[in-house]
Amino acid sequence: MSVRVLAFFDTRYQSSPDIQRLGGGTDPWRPLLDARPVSRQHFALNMPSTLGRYDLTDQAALARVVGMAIQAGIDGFVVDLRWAGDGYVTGSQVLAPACSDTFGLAFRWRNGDEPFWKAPAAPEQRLERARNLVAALKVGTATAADGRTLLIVDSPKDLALPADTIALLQREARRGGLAGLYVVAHRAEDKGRFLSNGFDALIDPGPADWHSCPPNNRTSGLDFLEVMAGLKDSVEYLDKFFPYLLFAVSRMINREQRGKAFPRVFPSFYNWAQYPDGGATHLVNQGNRAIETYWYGLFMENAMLFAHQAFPANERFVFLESWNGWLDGSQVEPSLLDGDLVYNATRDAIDRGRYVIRTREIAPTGGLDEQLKARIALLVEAAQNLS
Amino acid sequence: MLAGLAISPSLSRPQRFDFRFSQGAFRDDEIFDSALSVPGRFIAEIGRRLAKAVPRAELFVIGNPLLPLRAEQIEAWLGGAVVGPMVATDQAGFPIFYVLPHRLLAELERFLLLLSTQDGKADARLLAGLLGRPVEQRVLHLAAVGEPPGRGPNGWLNGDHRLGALKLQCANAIKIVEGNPGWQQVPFANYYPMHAGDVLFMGVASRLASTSFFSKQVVCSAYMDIPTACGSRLESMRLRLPWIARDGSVSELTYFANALDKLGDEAKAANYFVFSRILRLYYRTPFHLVDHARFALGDRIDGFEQTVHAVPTVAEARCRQPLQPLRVLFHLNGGWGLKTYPADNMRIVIGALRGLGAEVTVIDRPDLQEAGAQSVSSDDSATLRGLVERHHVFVGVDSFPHHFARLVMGWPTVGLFGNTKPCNSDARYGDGYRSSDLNLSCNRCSAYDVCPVLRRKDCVNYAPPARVVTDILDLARGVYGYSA
Repeated sequence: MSVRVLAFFDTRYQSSPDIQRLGGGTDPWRPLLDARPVSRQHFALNMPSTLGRYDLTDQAALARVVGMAIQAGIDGFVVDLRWAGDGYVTGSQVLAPACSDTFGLAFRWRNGDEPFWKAPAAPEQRLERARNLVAALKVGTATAADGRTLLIVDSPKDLALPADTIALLQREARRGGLAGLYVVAHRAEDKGRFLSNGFDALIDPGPADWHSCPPNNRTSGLDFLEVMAGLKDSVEYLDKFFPYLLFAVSRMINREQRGKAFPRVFPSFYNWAQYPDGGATHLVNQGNRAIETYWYGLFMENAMLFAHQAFPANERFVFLESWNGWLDGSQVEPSLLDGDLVYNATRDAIDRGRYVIRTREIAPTGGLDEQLKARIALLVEAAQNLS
Repeated sequence: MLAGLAISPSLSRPQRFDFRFSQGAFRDDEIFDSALSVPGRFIAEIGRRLAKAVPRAELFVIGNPLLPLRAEQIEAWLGGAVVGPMVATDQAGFPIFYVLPHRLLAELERFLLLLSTQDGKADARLLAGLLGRPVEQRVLHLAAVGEPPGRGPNGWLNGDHRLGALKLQCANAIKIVEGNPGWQQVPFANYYPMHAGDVLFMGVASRLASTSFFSKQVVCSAYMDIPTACGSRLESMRLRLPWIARDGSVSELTYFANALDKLGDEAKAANYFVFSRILRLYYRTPFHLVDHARFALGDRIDGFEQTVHAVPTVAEARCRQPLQPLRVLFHLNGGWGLKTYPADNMRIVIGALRGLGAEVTVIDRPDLQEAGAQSVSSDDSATLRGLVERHHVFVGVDSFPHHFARLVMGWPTVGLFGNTKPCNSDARYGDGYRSSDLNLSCNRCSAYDVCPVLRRKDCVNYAPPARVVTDILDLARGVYGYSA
């Protein structure tokens, strides 16, 4: 099986009352329309073009969205799973008719916003909550990872009893008729703790959560004084600016030592709209551009090759951030400012990745035995010491 | 973006076709992206597609591949009835699209390679010569598009004005067509004279191509042994010039002009020369350079199963030496700094292999002798062949010896890739071949001497020593049943 590319998808762009319980308001596009940069160093947020400001409850609009994603080579969407006070909401019911054997759904549990799991609770309450969660996953066709429904735990550190919680969810999933859960922890750098707690794999954190290289703007006391004196733009002090290329390459170096961590690829990222008081993360390309499709394409293509090489056949994933993350500039959908530049770059990169993967689909030869591998490691270490 | 229209009496209006350069999916509307092909090769390819889709069409309208054109736009320019061959240009005479009769595509397809695609007058004159009838030149209401930029919107390179070479080849072709009654029998010579690996790729491509427009290849004197050594089906034309420097001090256009002069008037009168040096960035595609060359020669590639990644280039060969000790031959020097496997890592590889009882030989690296390797020299393909045959496994960076060992000899080979893209120059994967690299997201960076990300003079995408040693032993185990 080739590497599957799953794109994070914001289901809040719909008018159903269910999704509006999560606070999207009556017009889900309003936050994008209202966002205004507060600095000349903030890249302008983009606006949808080809697909328009869709309402996912409109079946024709939904078909266009999913159709374009499939055309780009995307194998499914990752939708957020949130607690809404009396149950879990994913907003993915509208996506169910568009799912198929070749286009499925995976889930990202936003457990960090849910106090319940942060503290021990009575077993019957935990059981009820777990059943509720599993019920919300039974929508559309699930993306099968090792035959199980893929669930990303967004804040694994916020689980008071991580091993117990994962075991409980697994039991309830099977009891609820699912083949089980393939649980992925969002925190690639904490491999030891999470993998031993029953997680199946890890996923790289998003750009805002994992600064994989030093920022361009390492600030000093003088910067602070200049900002306070009104001589300098405060975002230079408060926000962090990273070179996209170095940021992306840093994430891919020494990956094999990070355990089973799925790559997360993004075309661009600037989340100032979510940080009106400062603290945003910006990825910047040479020439102060928000997007450089060549490097993005290589990021995607090489992440796919890495996933093909590093993971078992039915667990090969690359996560794309994002299909419609308009508020942090990571969207792949065609836009007013970039046209179909990013969309085409995504399609081309996935095409290239899949082509190269086909060239390497050789029958495994069986590999060297562990004893010889250990001997090679010792000899290499000895030779390193000698040189 | 590539575009064309088919005009047929049975159709009330032209049928429109839009194509894009393939990135590996080979969808129906995609055309193989060959960096070694002139724009005329794409005109021929579009013509093939149109003729297949509308076999009874009498005229084909084909957009200039140098330009980002859509069929809808061309149709709008075309206006009313079109009755015969035409070259439509901008207001400065730059060709925008061509109207070509079915006969030209069916019988004289290869001559499309000679179009300048930049000089409407010259192209109309060439077409008139080919068709034996006048060719209309129509000026469109389009301001001058100007000289193609350093990297054009359709991906063509012209930073050193190399596209000017197409005008030279067109001018030479016009002389032949207008002056030689036997112009249809004049052979086509492929101009791809350097460097060693490129000459090899073209030779292998000529062997694999099911159809070819060419019967000759221009080759620098220094590489004259290569075509024969790799079984090329193209007759070599010796070019008595040193190969072009990689530092850009001589432009491709200047070198091509000098090459034509050096080849002489007699050769120019007796051959159609077609520029096949790099005109597009091959590493922006996933395709092997042998396939880029095959397409340039005229072969059709419209599916994965037709590529060298799916088809063996040569039969597997094996070393006849006793299996103990395992003998490993390395070639570690690429054509530029970042393409050379880091020396510190190599010392570790040598130490580890020797610790496992293997014998290590390196080509032209006396500095590695003190690490325990034997350094040998190889100045030509015959010497290289002899060296390879005395070793069980060949390990090489992205350079001629690597491609020769695998694509020509079929030898068990491990490819080492750093800042070049493996899929452009590796080989069909299998028991006898694999490549090692780390898939870093900067590959390919296109830098030569300094890493543009980390500012180092070596490439961190190369596989570390333990991985290289593991790959060598695993390959030896799979091919020979070797056990350390």
